[in-house]
Amino acid sequence: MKRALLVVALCLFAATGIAQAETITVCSYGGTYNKALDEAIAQPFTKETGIEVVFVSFPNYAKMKAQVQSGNIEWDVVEPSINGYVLGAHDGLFEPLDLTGIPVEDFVKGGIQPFGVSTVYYSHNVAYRTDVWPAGQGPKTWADVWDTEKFPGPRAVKYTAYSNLEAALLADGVPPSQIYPIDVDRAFKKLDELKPQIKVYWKNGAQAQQVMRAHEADTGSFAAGRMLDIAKDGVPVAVEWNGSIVDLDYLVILKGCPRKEAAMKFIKYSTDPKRQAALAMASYYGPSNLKAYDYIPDELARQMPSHPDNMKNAVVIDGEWYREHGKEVTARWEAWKMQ
Amino acid sequence: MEHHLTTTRRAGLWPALLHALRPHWAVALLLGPLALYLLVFYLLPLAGVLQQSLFSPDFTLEHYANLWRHPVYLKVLLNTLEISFWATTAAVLLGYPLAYGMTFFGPAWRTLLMAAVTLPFWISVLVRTYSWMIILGRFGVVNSLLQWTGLTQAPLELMYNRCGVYLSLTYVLLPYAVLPMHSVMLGIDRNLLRAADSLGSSPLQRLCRVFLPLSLPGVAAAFLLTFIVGAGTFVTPTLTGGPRETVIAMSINSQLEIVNDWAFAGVLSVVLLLTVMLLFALCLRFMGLESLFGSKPGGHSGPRASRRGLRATLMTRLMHWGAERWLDSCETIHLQWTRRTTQLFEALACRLPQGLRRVPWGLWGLRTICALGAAYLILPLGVILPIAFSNDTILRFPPQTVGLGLFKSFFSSGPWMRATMNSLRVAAPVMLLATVLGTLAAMGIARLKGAARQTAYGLFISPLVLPAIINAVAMYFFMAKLKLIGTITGLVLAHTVLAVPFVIIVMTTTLHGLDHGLEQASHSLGAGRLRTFAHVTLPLIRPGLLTAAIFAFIASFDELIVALFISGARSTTLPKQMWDGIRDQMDPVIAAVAAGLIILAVALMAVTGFVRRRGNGAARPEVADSRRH
Repeated sequence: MKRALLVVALCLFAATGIAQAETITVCSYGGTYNKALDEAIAQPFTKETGIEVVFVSFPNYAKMKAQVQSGNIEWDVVEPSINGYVLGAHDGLFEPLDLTGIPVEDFVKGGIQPFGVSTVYYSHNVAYRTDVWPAGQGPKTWADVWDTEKFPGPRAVKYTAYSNLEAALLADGVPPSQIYPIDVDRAFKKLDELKPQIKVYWKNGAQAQQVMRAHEADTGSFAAGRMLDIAKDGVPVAVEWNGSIVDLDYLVILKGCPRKEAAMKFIKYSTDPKRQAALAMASYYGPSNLKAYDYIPDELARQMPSHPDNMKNAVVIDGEWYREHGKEVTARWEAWKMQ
Repeated sequence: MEHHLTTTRRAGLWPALLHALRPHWAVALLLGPLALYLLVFYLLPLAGVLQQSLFSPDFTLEHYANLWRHPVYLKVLLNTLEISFWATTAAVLLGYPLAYGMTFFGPAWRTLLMAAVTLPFWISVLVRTYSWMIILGRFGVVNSLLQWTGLTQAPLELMYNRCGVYLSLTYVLLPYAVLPMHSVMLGIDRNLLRAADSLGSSPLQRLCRVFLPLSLPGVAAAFLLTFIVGAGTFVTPTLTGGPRETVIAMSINSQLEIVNDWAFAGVLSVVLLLTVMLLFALCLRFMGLESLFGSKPGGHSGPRASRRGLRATLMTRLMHWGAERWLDSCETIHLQWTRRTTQLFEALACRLPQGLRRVPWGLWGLRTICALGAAYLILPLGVILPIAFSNDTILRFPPQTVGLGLFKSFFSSGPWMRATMNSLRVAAPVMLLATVLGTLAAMGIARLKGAARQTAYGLFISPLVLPAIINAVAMYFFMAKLKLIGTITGLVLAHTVLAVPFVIIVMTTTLHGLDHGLEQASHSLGAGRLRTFAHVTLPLIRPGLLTAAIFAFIASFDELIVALFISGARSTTLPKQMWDGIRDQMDPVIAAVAAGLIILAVALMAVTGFVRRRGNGAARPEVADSRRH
């Protein structure tokens, strides 16, 4: 009987939490990117303010909505990409931010919004294995990716309609400035051509890295930062900047967040150009505060999505278009994939 | 209110009623707590899913109409059934000889096969599937071997298609197929086999005409159970399949993750739930529920027992009639088939030279199949273990280094240690809660008979066969309303529902084997109910209690899908951390965690085995073993 009581006592002990200092939870994209955020922004932030930062992944829209609707806010700072930001701002999920003291003019166009402060640009680019085609001789444009005679071999693309519709239209000869509003029928018709060669639909950056590392595909559409990250480890992979499809991430605070003040401090802290430069160099994503380029070596800066040279032929994702058409396009895309 | 009035007016009625109810009190008190718990934390959340699919906010069938408007979902449903059907068929075909080997081979073989079948349960399905990805990749183990030997020039496409899903899913389903067949085979009366021998049948005839028909209920049960598990599977086809291998659990997930259509996720959940319930009902027709889960040996007597308990509705009769016709025709086909193959084999055997004719080909063949089956089950471990004992920073095979670096980084990493602590903080209260509620309920079940027993048992066991994704969706909606998302409390409440079935299974077996004479003796010597329980029953069932507690602990400690939905930053559990580790960064530490869990599993198996051996024979969970002649 004594032993049973001991077990009960132990269980109760195990069930009680341990008191902690003020902690905020930041929800972002996980893996190497969360690590970069931690090292570049969170660790110095904790040192300066004493506020601990815990990271989680993944800024799923349904979960943001559920947290706001139930009033059970668990993520204090969330980093949705442009589609999530536009949808959330429209649905009223975010707290308006205190933007005083943030140098709006230093940021890329649209980088500072009433409900969100941008962190990084990331982009979907043409990438290929350089052991299949020597560097510089692989597919350079989306049209090359579609050209399976000149560049035969399995392809990998992202598992969402978003970024693939744009790539298909670019491959079909639509100029970057005329992508939106998307001609959905034309995009799917072009995608039909590539379909037999698409072997993998990767779900996130880590899987994209794995696909290239294990050589499951020769070329396709990949997040540039993730590719440069594995190239550093010796994986033979090259990234092309022509026609990069660019997306912007925003830091937001969910409506009703009980740790709003600490969260706002964190967001303001992240806008500092030096911190932004550190984040960009650790993650290979482009800083949204263009002043950050003052602190980034030129060679590295040329491999970042927000670098002026790389933005020349880029398509910036139109969050408004996706807010209106996202649902129907997704349904069509899911059906198309299964055909 | 009215009831109250009548009792006060007619004072004599209340005592009379109490007297009539008296024998049921104990049962109600024993079953009550668990029934209430499941009502609140299991049935209510499930009802929530149904509500989500029907109201938005007013009653509408709009979301169900979507099911027909988009034929793609019908295709997904058919996909799910097709994939599950073929993987199940393969698992049952391969599982049958394995189950046979586990039942009839020598102790060394039995231990080996038992370990091969049960060990995979201890490793996260995610890690196992990932090792299949390493094996089947374009430049993976198989393709490298094939090209190295020169058998193929270009890499074969083994993954991101049906081939990958069938190979990995059959592997995942195989243990589910083996265990019910094994439990039925244990209950087959060996005297019948001896009788066949003494009547001069050949080993083949004995197998086909005596053993196979006797084990058929086990095959049917294994098939249905495995099919149900296969239909709800999510992780494996996600990772090893291509877009054409989309199954319904994946669609539910993408409705929640990408499309944000909760109502339609509810609709798909309801469709999957109905499919599973239909199959589960079929399961019951074939076989007594308890023998299905191995807690009541002697499976072949099951169908008759459950038949007696059937309510004679038209529907059940029809289904029953169908099943019997089906079995009959199977038997006819099978008899003809056996006769022909037996003749063929005998003819072939006559042509063999005298020396070779004495070699027991059947036995060797069977052993080969068993060894191959065991190898198939252990193969993924062969990929994971070398990675675990390396210092690599990337998950790859073969690893480039050897060392204990990954274990070191596990113990020195904040997130991994936090996740381990969280898992312990969840699993410990779950163990306590589930063991107490489950044991009380099992004692209640022991006092029930017939249909009431089947109903109670079926309800308490059902979380085990409910596809995890449905439970996860239900818990998500429910816990969000209670503001328990991301809390340890929420996880404890949800995991207890999933741990209870294991306690019920172990404890009903334990109580089934209990010698009630001892309790009666205690009563007759003047001890009250409580005293008898504390001094007689409890010591007798202690080994079973410990086993049940361990199973409950593991059920929570190893749970992924529900944790994926309702755990949060501060309550990330170990399996969730492993999932993130693979999804976000291909973290090789997960291999070390998997290896650690295998070691833990082997240790716990040794402990439970030890406890069982020490325990009273009557209280052994594996009563069947002691019944061997």
